[in-house]
Amino acid sequence: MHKKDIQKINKNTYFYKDDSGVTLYFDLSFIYESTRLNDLKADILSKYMCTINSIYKTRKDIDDKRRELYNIGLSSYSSNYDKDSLLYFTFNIIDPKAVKDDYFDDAIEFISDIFYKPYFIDGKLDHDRLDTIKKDIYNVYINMVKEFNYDSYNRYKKVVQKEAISNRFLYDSKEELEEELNSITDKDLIDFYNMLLESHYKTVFVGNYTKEQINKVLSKFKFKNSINKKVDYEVTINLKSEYNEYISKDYSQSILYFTYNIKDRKKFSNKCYSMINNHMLNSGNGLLMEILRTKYGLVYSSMSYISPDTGIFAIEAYIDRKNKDKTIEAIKELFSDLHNKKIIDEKLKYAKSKIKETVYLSDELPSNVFGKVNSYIYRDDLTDSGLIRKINQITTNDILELFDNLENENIYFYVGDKDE
Amino acid sequence: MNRFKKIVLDNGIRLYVHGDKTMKKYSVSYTVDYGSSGEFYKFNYDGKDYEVLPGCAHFLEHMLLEQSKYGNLYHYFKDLNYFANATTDLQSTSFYFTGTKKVKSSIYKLIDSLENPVFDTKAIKEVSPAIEEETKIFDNRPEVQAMLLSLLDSYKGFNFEHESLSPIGTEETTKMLDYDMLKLCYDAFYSDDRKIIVITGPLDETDMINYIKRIYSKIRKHKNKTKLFIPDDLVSVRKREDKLVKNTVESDMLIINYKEQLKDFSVFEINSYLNYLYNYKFSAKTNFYEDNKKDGILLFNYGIDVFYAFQNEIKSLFNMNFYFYITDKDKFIKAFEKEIKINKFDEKDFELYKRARLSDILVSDEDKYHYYNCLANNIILYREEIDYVDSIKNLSYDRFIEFYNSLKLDNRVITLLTKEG
Repeated sequence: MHKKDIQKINKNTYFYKDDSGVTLYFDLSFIYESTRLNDLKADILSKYMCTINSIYKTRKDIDDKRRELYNIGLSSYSSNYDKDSLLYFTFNIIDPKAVKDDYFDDAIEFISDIFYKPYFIDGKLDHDRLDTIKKDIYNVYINMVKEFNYDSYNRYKKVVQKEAISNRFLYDSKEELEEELNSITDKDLIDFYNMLLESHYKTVFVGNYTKEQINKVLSKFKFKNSINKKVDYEVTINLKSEYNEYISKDYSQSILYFTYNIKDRKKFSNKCYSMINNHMLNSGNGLLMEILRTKYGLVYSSMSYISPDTGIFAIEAYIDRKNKDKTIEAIKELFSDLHNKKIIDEKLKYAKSKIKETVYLSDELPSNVFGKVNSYIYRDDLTDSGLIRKINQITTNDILELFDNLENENIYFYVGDKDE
Repeated sequence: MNRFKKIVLDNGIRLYVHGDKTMKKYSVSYTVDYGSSGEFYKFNYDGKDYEVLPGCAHFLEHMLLEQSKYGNLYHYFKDLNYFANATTDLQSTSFYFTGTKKVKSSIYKLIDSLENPVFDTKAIKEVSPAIEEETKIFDNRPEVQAMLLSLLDSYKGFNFEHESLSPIGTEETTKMLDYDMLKLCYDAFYSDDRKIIVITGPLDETDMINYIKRIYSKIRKHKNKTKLFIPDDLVSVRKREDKLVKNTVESDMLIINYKEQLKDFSVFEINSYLNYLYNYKFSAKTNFYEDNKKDGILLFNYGIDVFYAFQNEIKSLFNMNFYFYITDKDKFIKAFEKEIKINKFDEKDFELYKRARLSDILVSDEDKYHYYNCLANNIILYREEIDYVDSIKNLSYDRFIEFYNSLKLDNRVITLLTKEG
């Protein structure tokens, strides 16, 4: 994916022509003030729009139409930051040429109906559907924050974000979430929808579209206001230097979790951080596996995370509880290696060669291309050539400095106490 | 869509090769039809009966490459920037890598390591601790454990049962595996007729086939001297059963497992028609789903799995598992059994399903390398002789009805995973 190939069709609309696959991607995004209540409204409303409609009055009607249109993809998600949130609608259309069926106009008509003809009848929504959506959100949330969650991402959210962002994303209790869900009225959701129509942010096309096809889409989706604003993706989390222990009677395996604030999170771009994490620390040749698994046999699985958005660096190790002290010693050894010029030199060299190959290969999958185009358009992330240039500039001293500047060591030990 | 050239080598190894100059990477897999399920625990090798512990196939998967004559072969692969890994499933063990350079010499090293193992007691001790930790992963994931539980149920009645819920064994059984047992399993199951090699990439097919032939011309043949104990009646040997298992689930999970054998249907057909049956009757868009949710009996469904036993010997034997998170077991089972037996379908809906399935296939084929994920098994099961797109177009409503009417829906095991305490 090259920057020069991204066409700017108008102020907020972009197109990247990719003829390697059969999927035509198209996404619309909207910007709104980031509050917990707004995020909840966005979640409910977008799910509602994708599952009931004033033309397709039941979920089955929508599903049948989707299948008729070769499983046309409708999905939505929101990304939430300190001040702004973004709600995305993504539509995937199978290229009519691939199925030898000229159904593109029908597909766009359907997407337009989904977007512009929500089921708001006389200021009312369908409450059966709405209740189901609310119940689903509730169940997913409860599952996500259950006390001892082994899913890495959710645990990360729970542990790090809950401690640090004082409930910006999480609720104190099931009752609090239930109360907030129930407080949202039909009028709130209709107002939120109308607000979205005035808050278009960007439109992105990726795939083997013809000019005519893009024009057809744009003629259906016209927004009076498209907002030009730089979203601030950073979230501030200040960890406390402390040690915490949680005991679970449900599990036998334990997790040791080390987290740190990165002093200068702007030091590298997102993609460079991810190269350091994926190829110097996490890969089969990374330091974690080398020390914790190969050298000491303490783990089968161990991961590290670097998040420039939150400014957090974390290491987790799944261990037997009796190996806690040994693992802490091994992680100290790992940190000593992260300050060792010779070792960092060798790991950085490996990571650079690996990332170049990854970049070279990554355009083979259309969904990767879509992701890369989006991260460039939304986050001003590096394009492939920019990334190669940047990583060539990273020196061993830069990496040493990064690990020298970790602060606020915060350790969690989840003790799996099932069989004790 | 990739089309493979199939060759059977002199020793019986099946080789699949596909060359495509537009690909940037090579993808190589070596699969042996030896997995972690019950039928491999008791067997006759070279005239003698043996019984081994669970986890042997998985332990060998780790050891053969991590303790090879080249040292840890994964380190060599990683130095070449490959993605390399191995997996053990119920029926097979696969070793695979993708990469761009020095592929021929890597293929040589892979084959040499697997055909000429050098492991000993010391190597076993070195590999063991990480595997002991790996066995606990299943303990931490109730949903995965539920699936494994059902899988083990599939083999009930005719072979080996072990109290371990994990087909890769437990910490204790892993510690008990010794050289003699592992060597026996290697000799018994790494026979040439069980092996399949798949190679794709920007290669010349004839050249690659000749290269593999040359490698094997210098490797001794590994004949099959193993007999598995497989009963004649594969279905009714298992008894109908309802059971309850205490676990760490947040909500009760119900697994309904049926065992069936349909000799007149291909695996492709079985897979497609079952998929449709599930979609039509139980998926989130159905009245069944909505009604039971509304009544508070069903929380959400967790999908369906189909597992084929003895894929080489008898492809048509299969187990299907339906998973649901529920609140009231008795009411839900009653509703489910009523629904699955209602012989009423909709031809128009079936045609819509075909369109959706075609789209799924086209999208999955966007990834030229998904074969390395599917590995040999899926090529053999689904794609060896067929053109997938045409095959979907050839699925018919009448044939689906025939399929549905052939299901006995009788031999079932129901397992309720419920919260401890």
